[in-house]
Amino acid sequence: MDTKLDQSENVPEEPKMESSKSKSSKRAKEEDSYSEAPKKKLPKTTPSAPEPKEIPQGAINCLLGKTFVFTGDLENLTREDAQDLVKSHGGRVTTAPSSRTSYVVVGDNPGPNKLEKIKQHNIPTLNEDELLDLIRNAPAQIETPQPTPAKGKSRASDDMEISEPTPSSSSTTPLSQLWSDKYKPRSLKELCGNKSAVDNLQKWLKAWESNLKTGFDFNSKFPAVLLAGPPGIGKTTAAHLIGKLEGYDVKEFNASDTRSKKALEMAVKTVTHNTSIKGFFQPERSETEVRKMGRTLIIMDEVDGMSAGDRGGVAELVQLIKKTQIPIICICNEKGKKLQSLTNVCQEIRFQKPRVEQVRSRIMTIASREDLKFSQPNIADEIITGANADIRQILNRLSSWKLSNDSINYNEGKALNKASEKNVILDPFDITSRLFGTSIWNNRAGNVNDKLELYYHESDILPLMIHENYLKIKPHINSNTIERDDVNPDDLEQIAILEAISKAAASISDGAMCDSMIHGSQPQWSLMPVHGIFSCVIPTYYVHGINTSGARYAFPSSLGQISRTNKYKRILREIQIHMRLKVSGDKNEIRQSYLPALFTALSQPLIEKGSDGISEVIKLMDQYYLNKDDWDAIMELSFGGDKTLKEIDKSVKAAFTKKYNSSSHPVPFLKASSVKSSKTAAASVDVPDFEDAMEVEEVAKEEEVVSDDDEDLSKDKFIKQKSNEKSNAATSTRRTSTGTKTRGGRGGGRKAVRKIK
Amino acid sequence: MNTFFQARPSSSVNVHEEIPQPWIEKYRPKSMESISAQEQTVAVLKKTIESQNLPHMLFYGPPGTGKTSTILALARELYGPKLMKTRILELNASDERGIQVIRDKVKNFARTAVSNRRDSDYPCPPYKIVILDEADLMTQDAQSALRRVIETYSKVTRFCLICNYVTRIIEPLASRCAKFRFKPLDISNTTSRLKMICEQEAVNYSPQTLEELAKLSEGDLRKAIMYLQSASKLHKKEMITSESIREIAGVVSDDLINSLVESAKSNKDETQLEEAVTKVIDSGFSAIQILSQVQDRILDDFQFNEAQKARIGEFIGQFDKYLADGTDEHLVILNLIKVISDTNE
Amino acid sequence: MSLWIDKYRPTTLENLTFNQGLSRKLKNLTDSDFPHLLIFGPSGAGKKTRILCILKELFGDGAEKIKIDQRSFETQRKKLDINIISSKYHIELTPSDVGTYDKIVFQELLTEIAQTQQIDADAKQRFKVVVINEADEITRDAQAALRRTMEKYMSNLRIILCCNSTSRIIEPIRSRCMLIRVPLPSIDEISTTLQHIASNEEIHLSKSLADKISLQSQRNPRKAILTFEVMASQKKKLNDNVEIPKVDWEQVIDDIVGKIVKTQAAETLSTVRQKIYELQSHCIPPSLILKKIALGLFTNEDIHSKAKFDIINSATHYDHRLRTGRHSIFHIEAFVSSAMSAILSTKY
Repeated sequence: MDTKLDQSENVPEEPKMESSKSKSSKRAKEEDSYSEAPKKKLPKTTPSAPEPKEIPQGAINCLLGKTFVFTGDLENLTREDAQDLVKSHGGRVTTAPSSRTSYVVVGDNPGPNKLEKIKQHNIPTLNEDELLDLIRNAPAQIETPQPTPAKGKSRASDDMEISEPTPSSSSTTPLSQLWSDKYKPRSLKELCGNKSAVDNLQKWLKAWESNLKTGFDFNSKFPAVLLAGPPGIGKTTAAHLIGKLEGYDVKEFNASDTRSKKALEMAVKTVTHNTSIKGFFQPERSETEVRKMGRTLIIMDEVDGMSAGDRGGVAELVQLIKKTQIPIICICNEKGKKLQSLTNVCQEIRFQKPRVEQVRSRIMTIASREDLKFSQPNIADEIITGANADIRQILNRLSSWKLSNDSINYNEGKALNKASEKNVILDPFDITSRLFGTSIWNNRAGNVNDKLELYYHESDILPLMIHENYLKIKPHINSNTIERDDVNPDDLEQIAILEAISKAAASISDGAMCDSMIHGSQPQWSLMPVHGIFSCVIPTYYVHGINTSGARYAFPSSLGQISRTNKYKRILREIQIHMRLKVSGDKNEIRQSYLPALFTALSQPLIEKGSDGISEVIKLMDQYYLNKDDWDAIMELSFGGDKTLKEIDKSVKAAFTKKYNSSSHPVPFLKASSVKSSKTAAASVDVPDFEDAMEVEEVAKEEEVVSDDDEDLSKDKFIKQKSNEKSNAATSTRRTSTGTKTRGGRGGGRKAVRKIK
Repeated sequence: MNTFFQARPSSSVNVHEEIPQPWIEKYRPKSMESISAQEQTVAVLKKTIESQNLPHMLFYGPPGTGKTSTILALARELYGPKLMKTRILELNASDERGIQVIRDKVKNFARTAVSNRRDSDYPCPPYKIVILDEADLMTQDAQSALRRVIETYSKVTRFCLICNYVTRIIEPLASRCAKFRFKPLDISNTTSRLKMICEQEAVNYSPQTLEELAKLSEGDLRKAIMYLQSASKLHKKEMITSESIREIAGVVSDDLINSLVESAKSNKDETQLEEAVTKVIDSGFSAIQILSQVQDRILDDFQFNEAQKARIGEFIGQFDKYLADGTDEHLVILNLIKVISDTNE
Repeated sequence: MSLWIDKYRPTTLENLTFNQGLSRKLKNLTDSDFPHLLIFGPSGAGKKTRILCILKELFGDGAEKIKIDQRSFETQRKKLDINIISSKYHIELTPSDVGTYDKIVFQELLTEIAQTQQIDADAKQRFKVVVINEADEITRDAQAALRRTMEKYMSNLRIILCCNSTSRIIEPIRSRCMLIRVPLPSIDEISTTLQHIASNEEIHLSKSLADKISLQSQRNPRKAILTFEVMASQKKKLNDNVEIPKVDWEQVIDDIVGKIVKTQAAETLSTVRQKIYELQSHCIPPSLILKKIALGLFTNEDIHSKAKFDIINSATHYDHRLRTGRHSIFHIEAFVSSAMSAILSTKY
């Protein structure tokens, strides 16, 4: 762990030192004094671990040609670090010992199989100290052109050849072009990996025309293909190449083009109904060329991005494919649910990530052509694995490295990967499954900070994801943790599991406290790491293991629940306000005591007496100033309301609605909702004189206007003037007036809207 | 409709008879001599008046001990009732007292020179007084801003800070002031004061009632007077009883507390515990009051040993915080009772 | 027709059946100089009914003619609506409706009211009354703002604060008000009322059944009367063995408690989570859910006494968090899981 940190810390200063070193190493076999210079440097930066062991910086490539196997736990170094150490000195690391293995490094608790093999092949073994000594003392070696046996093998199996750059590309200035464009494969041979997929694609395109004549059956003969696979492995390139090879004009649509239903229709129509202009300018036509002329191929790139914004895009594409006259190649990274309809009409060709060996030679070729020196042969492997075999990504990384350096060594390669690591965007589902998985909690797999790093990818949604899904996990329990003799082991496990869950839940609750402080009235962003630890790291520490539900990790439902709760809260508030003239309770009291009783009183007559009960219900509603919407809301707010609603006869329900709407009802007051528009409209008219600015709209809602309305109005006006005078107050006040409740209980609904500037 | 909001010029309203004042204002001490129970402080202050050299002052002590009354009486004796208004700036917690106010209002008042006008009957020293009531509620920033103001304008302005908790005044500010501690009033002081008021207001009282009142007010004279006034309103001319005083103070009756603690001690069954708690909660008493009375009861209970009392006390401290943050009272009291019952086992 | 609870609601201090001693005292108050009041007591004890009676006593029948207004305030960030219930003589508001913006309501509205005077020259009192509901939900800032208003406009404004508990009312406010405690009526008092209603409605209700109803309603008269009406509407015959229906949400909580007691496992927690979501979206406040579950577990006979100690402890702990933290479901779930863990580990 320590050394790992050291390396990353050293990154900024190391390149210079190393590059000068490698230059000198080219010159000659070095004097020993040289290799000692950096040796002093490293130990100094090693933090004081309990018993720090000096990590030697051996001579360049001192382990070249030697193969190591590790088994068991080393004393000070983690296995990963030790392997890095060997690799950085040019050695190879394999997993299983064989006759070709030079040394086996044995730690505590070595694997028995490996020990047997060691005996069998009589391989020399080393312990940790011996390994370090070996590195310290081994002489430097010049990079040998002779490839390691394994490497030779992979190259042979790959039948990959270094093709000379085409004249056209070499004529362009090298710097002006991106490497990823410059070294775009120009022949099928240059494509790395995915041989069978490319072959399939070619076969499909070759057979396309004959299939068109016989008709597509969407079973074995498809008018379109769907290329699926991770980014940067040459899907688009392959599609273009094959298209050209088979003599098609390639027309590409990608995410930058509009791809909504309409746009797609237009764009594709113009392409499909035009003949390619290229054909007319081709001077001499051979027989085959004529046949091929005027043929167009459409590549729909990044179709998975299409479903996000461009509604109807996929459906349109499917329609298009069904009646197409030209071949269509669709390309996507991930075929999710949204592309389901597309997969029905496309032949699917999967592109796999190429294996390291498949990419290696191509990267080496490019590097040598660009004069980038790899000081050790295994650097390429490291960079390739680090970039997930995304060739485009590798080239981008290397080209930016090349801007300042001419060579690269193992540690720099690793650092390069590390620096680019953050660019990898993980989606919350990935992070969730990582945190819940056991591998990250393996005691050698990184420290707390690494886990916290995951939180920062999605700090908003991740805590919710953890909460949503932690109950689906069967926690991995170390059953020795609880010691109780009186309980049988099965129950003990149950107790331990529940305890783990309870601790996780407690920590999630702690996290929510942090959350409220972070987003509180005085935001305390410095609590972010604490929040991350509480809400994500600790819960998953207690609860990680196997996802028992088998389902995918779910998106947090609590968000939906909150908005649902808020909606009903508003409705409840409305009911309470309506009832307020009659009932003094607050909204909780209304909900908890009144609603159950009202629910029965409002539904029972309809169920028992049918349409005879209607007038009874309406009477009750009028008493409490409830309208039909409130009636619906009360049914909804009560548990079992939907069941009761079913018990009410449909015809009774309809009659009830009809009857309610046909009669007039008392209104406690009118909502301000209709006022809003008029207010904003009025506000835009800027009238300088306050007295003139007064507007009174009166809408007589009902015929019965209570007698003292006139009186009210005059008073209202008076208020308004007063308010106008006060208009510089920061908050402006608006008022919606009301019907007045008189003794008879029947109030006239009247609405007066006035604007206060 | 909007009768409620309607303004009405106050002149047109029929002439008021004298507005009934709350007794705490009515019986606020007018002179230094009439301040109860702070003899030492008063004596020192008298000396400073004679020497005409008033230091910056910091009054601290529990509420209702006469801090504000003292400074107002002092000011009256210095300037007389006429000049007092111009020479005094009083700011309390309900006024806006952010740093901006210190910078503008206080500073401006502090730096203006004093007029020569004087009242011949009073000493009228050539400086003004700024009274900052409830100074411990001022922000740290505002306090820091104040410390320079105090020094710069000390020639024409003296400051008097009043607070309950002297620890909340930042050190640099406290060190610039002469500190005066106001101690809580003892029972005899309170009763004599209450007696005086009762006689003036013709309240029907018994000596025991006043003693009870003094005990409940815990040395806070303002509280005691408030309770007395409330009680006299409820009872009119009738005799004020101890029970009604306790009721007004929101004190739970000893019987109720006793039965609660006893049931906690004797009962093992949670359902019975729950019933006992519900009974107390349903009577509507505030849980904080119950908590503090149960605490007193436990402390006096010889059936608990020290360790047990300590354990319960620890929980009580936590419950107090819970209650202050609004945790459900029923749950907290139930928890308290369960803790006591658990400890007793 | 209206529900019985409103049909038989007393409207004058004399008619108040519960806590008659208190009513007498209140009557004394209305005669002399009326102070600010802080009325507190459990939900359903009759605080609002008392306030209405006091107002009627103070101003006469005019106080009963009430209407509803909606006022809007605009701050820089948000538009706020608040509903105001008012008569000629008083005004009633619930500042907690606007959450943390309640201070603005006081600053704008209260000052406006306070600066105006009684319009009705014939009014019995010179002052107007402002009733503030849910006073314990008001933020501390707003309470501080209120404190000054109470002193400054004493001459033409009286404030009646209404709340469930005084614990969250700041001391300066408490010391400026007269505290009026309204306890829940006794079982007997409620039973008598129930029987009174029953005889008026010509339904036979035995004393023992009335007691049973009152008991199950936790001495809450509102709940008792409403429950009684539901029973009356469902069953014609009310004998002593009739089961008293529980309200809908209490049934759900009983169900949750039953599940927790039966099996303690992650799956139970999952189902409980769904139920809690249901309750919340049906407008049952999170703290009530937690409290009811906790009390249900606490009084359950199948749970070991030791576990109950942990249960009640974590109940207060997480209820405290509900008041201060976001994401109520997290806290309730943490409570349930710790309760389950406590039950399970004492099972063997």
